[in-house]
Order: sequence, then structure tokens, then C-alpha cells
Amino acid sequence: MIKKFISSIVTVALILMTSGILVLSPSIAMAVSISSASDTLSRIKQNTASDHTFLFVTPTGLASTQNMTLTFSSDFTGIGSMVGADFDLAEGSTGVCSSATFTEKSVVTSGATTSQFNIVGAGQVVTITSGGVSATLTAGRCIRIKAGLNATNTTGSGPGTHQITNGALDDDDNIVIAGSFGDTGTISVDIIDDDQVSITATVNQTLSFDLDTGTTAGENGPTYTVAFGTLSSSTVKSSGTTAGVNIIFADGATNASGGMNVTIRNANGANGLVSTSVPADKIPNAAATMVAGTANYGLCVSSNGLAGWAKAAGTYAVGTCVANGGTNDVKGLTTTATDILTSTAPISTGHAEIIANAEISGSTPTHTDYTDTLTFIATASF
Amino acid sequence: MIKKFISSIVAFGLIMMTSGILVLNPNVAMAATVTTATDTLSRQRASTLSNHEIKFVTPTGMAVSTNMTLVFSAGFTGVGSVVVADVDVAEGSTTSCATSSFTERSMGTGASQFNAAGSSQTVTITAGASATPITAGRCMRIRIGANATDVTGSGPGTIRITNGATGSADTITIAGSFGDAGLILVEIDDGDQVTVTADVSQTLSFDLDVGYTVGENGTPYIVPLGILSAGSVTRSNTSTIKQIFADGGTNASGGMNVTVRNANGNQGLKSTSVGTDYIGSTNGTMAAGTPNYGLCVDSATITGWSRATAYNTTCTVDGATNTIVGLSTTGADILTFATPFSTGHAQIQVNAAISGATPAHTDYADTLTFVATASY
Repeated sequence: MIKKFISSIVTVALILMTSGILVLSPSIAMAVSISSASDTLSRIKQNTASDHTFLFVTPTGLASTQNMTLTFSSDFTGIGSMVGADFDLAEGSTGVCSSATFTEKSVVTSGATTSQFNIVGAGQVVTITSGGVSATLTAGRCIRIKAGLNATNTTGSGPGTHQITNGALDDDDNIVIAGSFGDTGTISVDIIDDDQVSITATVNQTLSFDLDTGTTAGENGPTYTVAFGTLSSSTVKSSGTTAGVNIIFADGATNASGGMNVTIRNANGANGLVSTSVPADKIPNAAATMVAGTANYGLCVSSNGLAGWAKAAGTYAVGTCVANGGTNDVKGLTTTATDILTSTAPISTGHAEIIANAEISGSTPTHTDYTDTLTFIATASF
Repeated sequence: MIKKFISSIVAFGLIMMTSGILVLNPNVAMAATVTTATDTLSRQRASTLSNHEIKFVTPTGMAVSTNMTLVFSAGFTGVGSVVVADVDVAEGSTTSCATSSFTERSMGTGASQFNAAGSSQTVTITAGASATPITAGRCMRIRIGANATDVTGSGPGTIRITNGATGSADTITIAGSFGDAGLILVEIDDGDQVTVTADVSQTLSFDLDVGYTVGENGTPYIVPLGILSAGSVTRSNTSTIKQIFADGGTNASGGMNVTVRNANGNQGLKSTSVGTDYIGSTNGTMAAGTPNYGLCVDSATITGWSRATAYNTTCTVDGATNTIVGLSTTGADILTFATPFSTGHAQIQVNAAISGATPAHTDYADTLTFVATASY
């Protein structure tokens, strides 16, 4: 009886097949290959955590409730720790991965709504599953899947906090794409001994400083001298071509990260220009505006040509100062070093013009030996 | 007596015939048989369009105003659709169909041409009244279908004749007033093609090395630029500053791209101890005294890969005026190629320059990361 039943079934099947009514079509079970498939890793060094960006064109697309699997070859680790937040899934506007614009899908680990995708890792496999009718991927479009810290989109979940770790150095690493959605493909990647090159360099310290004196800029000396000549109570003498009094030129450069300061101190402090023969006689120094007939002596820094440095704040940065100036604001000199030029960053071409000024009153004792000595010190801060 | 005479004549005739002295030759009134006759089909599969190339030696030749008929057996279809453009007629230079060179006849309806037309199962070829005849004893070639590419007079042809089913005796019978006759048997098969398949596994290889000259070396890969000077550009060369060598290959149909990113972006070489001090990285031509740092790809030694568009710049080993590409913390293509290649090689030059104001440090550093991606 059983034999007869089976025989009948076989006979009917054969009749249907030969008549064309029943066709065992091999096409139904055949997968379609994805194209333009790539996986860009953030690191390809062995045993190193890496992000993955997959791009490929799906000929079939992914329909409601279908799934897609990404199976990492055995060397990769950490896949089982990946959750929905660690993935971004996006569909391209076209089938050209290089130019498509991508629209992110909503991704969760589990419990996807009909418009979301579940994505989770287990073992070596990442499975992407449509939650329903509104969670589909269009046939012929480029699909982008980000896995790792690069999954920054937060639609549904995110950003990513886990990465997949590369395996050892070898030539057998790949990711196989399959699943019920019907497409298949393999993407090979190459894990190498190291993917980084360290570049190192040294910049040695540099510091240069130079003084010159003259009515115009130029190299000279030593010895550096500023000779006021004969002073008059009716006219303030200042550095410059008018009175023929030398300007003090300071030039310097440094690559010190803290820049370079220049200090000044004088031999006589507030006594200013002191008679060598009668030291009690002096042309004093005080911070003040030079005035004809008022005995005073001092320095200021011109803004002309000033480069690299700044005038020292609070002192030389204040007031008027020009070559040949009759009303320059001079600063107090001391026998201890005081900043005259400053910088807080490297200087490649520092330049400053320091103006000397002197005036006497009608009662200033006569002498031919009023003298002072200025000492400039440049210090870099590396 | 008469009976005896007739009997003697019959007896004599029989003796002569059996002895071979007298032969009643039936060929005297019959057509001569073509020889070395072949029909080469472009497809032998049943129910499939096919070209035909028919060759044979014609003992008689084909005089003007005579015709030749090619009768295709019943299985063939489409014969009636053959027009003159679908037929080429050529005469061989010798009697050997294997070695002859062939001279095409002009095909058309003119008196100086050969005409051809299909009707039912027969293709009839007619030599015009002033056409150049086919010489007796020569090999004759007739092409019917898309292989009738000669356009002398008419052409080219399109495939018209379809093979019949399997299992029947398929023939082409040659006859006509030109005087010769023959039969060519052809075989129609259930399938004449074999699909051959093979798999080639994906391959992808990529390797970095650093050195003065090309060669394998181990990790870590470091390019020490040494002490930089405002007076000159420090750059990779063959003796003191290492180059970066990238080698790779893939059979990916979309080729392979290599990207580079750096740790410090446009801040380039950064002091480890004072993070605000750096030698920047920006597109430009290197010049002594102008701080800049970056990479370029030597144009003379690259093989397999192409330089990415941005890196199509002036770049040589030990080039003092290389034009570099500014680095970024996001990967940017440095090497590309859109098709498979087996031996890609590129020499990447590191360039750096400072000004007199570049802060002094012994710990300027940057890290470059190279990533190779194939597109399958």
C-alpha cells in the first residue's frame, strides 16, 4: 500500500515536471553577488582595535524581516561584544558608492520596531535584521555599514563604544556577507605588522643679540658710544640726525618658546650722567617728559622699525618716543637690570631703536666729563 | 540467322563489359561530383541561428548565366529569407580548399555580378551574363550569414538560417545548371557549447617599510628627521633621512586605495612637552625658512598605483622644493588605482622646514597611519 502511494506521488511529480507545470528552478535558491564591496579599517595593524566601514551595492536589497550576516574570519575578536549602538546602517542615494549620499537607518540591539533594524554581534557574526515593513534596503543601492567608534550616528542608538580587534599577521582575513536577504559576497582585508610611521624631529635652541650705535641703522663697533656733545638749557638733545646723536640699535632672534627679554641697567642709577671729575655734579635721570631747561636724562624706545620685541609694559611702552624728538617720555634708569624689550614667543628678526635724551638747566654745573654706562642683557626663555 | 547475329552481338557485348573493355559510363549524362566538400557552421546547436561556410572543388566550374542551388534539408529554417547581401561567393586560387586564397565575386543583380536568393529550402546562386565565371577545378567558397562580411556589390550579411532539431539527417545538396552536384552532411547537436567556470580567490597585500633605499625592515617604522634648520629643507633622501615605502597588490576589480592620516592634523610635528609648539602642515612648496611639514609621493619611482589627485605634485627623492600635501586627522587618499594590480610600489617623501622663530624642542613628533582598502 505504501509502495503504491509513493509510486503514485512519483508518477504525478514526473508528469507535472515533464508537462512543464512543475519546474524545479535552480534560480530560486541561487544567491546574487554584491558588487563594489570594500571594508575600510581605521587600523590594519595586527592585534589592534579597529573601526570598519563597509560599502557595497546590494542587487537584491533587504526586505521586511529579512536579515544580513557579516561573518568575520576567525582571527578577529570582540565581535560578540558589539551591540546596536556600535553600528550605523545607511542606504545610499544611488548604486555608486563613491558618490552616493547616505541616509542613516534607525538601529537598535533588539526589539526593533517595524521601522528599525536590530544589529548585534555573536561569535564571529554580526546580524542585521529588519524589524518590519518600514525597515528595508532598496535593491541596487549602495549600503554603508559602520562598526565601531566611527558609528557616531545616534538614530535609534549610538554612538559606538566597542571596536573589533584585528587578528594576527596573516593573509586569510575576510568578511563574508550573506543572510536571508539573498545577496552574498566576500571582502578580503590585509592585516599587517604595523600601519604607522612615526616622524620625529629636533629643533635646536638659537639665540642671537647685537647692539650697534649710529644715527642710522647699520653694523658698527664696538665700542658703542652715544655722545651728546655740548648740552644747552634751551634745547633737548635726542638721538637722531638732527643733533647728530647716535641711536642705540638692538637686534636679536631666538627660537626660545618663551621668547627673549632685554634688560637695561646703568652705572649711575638715578644720578644719570655724572661728572667723572666732580661726582656730586650730575644730570639726573627720572621718568618724565623731556622739557627744555629742565635737567634730565634717559632713554625711550621708538616705535619706528620695532619688530619681534615689544616695549616693556608699564615703562617703555608708555609715552612718546621718536628720533630727534624734543618731548620724549624717558624712563627711570636703575643700577639693577630692568626690562626694556620683551617677547613671549620666538623672534626671528627682532629690531628696536632706543633713543637717548638729555637736557640741562641753567644751573647745571659745567663739566666736559658727564658720563653714564648702559648695560644691555638679552635672555631667552626656552 | 538474325537471332544468331543478335545473340552473337549480345554475347560479345557481355564479354567486352565483363572484361572492362566496354564500359557503359553513366556519368556521361550525369553531373560531375564536387569534391573536398565541407560546410562549416558557426553553431551546431539545435534550433540555433548559424552561419554557413561551404567549400568544395567544382570540376566543371560555373559559367556565366548558369546557376547553383544549395538545398537545405527540411530541418533548417529561414533559408527563404536569405538575400544577396547574406551571401559571399569566392573562387580559390587553387584546387586546394585548405591553402587557397580566395577572390570574392561581386554580389548583386547586375549582369556582371553573382546573384543569390533564398526561397523555401533553397539558396540559388546565379552567375550573371557578363560575370567573371568560376574556373573549373578551383575551390569555391560560399558564405551565408553574418560571416558574409564582404561588401563587394552588397553586404554584409546577417544570420538568417536556423538549425533544425537533433536526430535528423541534415544535409545541403549542391546542384544546378552549372553542372556539378554534391551532398554535404552536417550534424546538429543538442548542445555545442561548454561553459567553463573557475574561481579566483580575493587577494590583498600591503606593506610599509622605511629606509634610505628600498628593502624590507621591521617595525616600528620611524623616520627621524634629526635637527631641523631654518637654512634648509629637511627631506627624505638616500643617505640620512628615511623614505617611506608602500608596497601592495590586489586582484580586486575596483583596485586598492591607500589613505594616510596623521595624529596632529594641520599642526603637523608637535612638541610632546609643549603641545602649543608645532611645525604646521599645509599644502605648499617647501622653502627654507618657512615652517611646514608634510608628505609627497615620488613621481619617478611609483609603479602599480597612481598618486591620488592631491598628490600629483612635484616630488623627488631629496627634492629641496617638493610640493607637499597638508595632513589631516581624517584619512585622505594618497595612493589609488581603480583596477587590479600585482606589484604596487610607492616611495613617500617626508619633508620639513622651520623658520628662525620655530621654538626649540627635541621632541617634535607626529604619527602617520596608512590604511589600504580594496574594492571587490
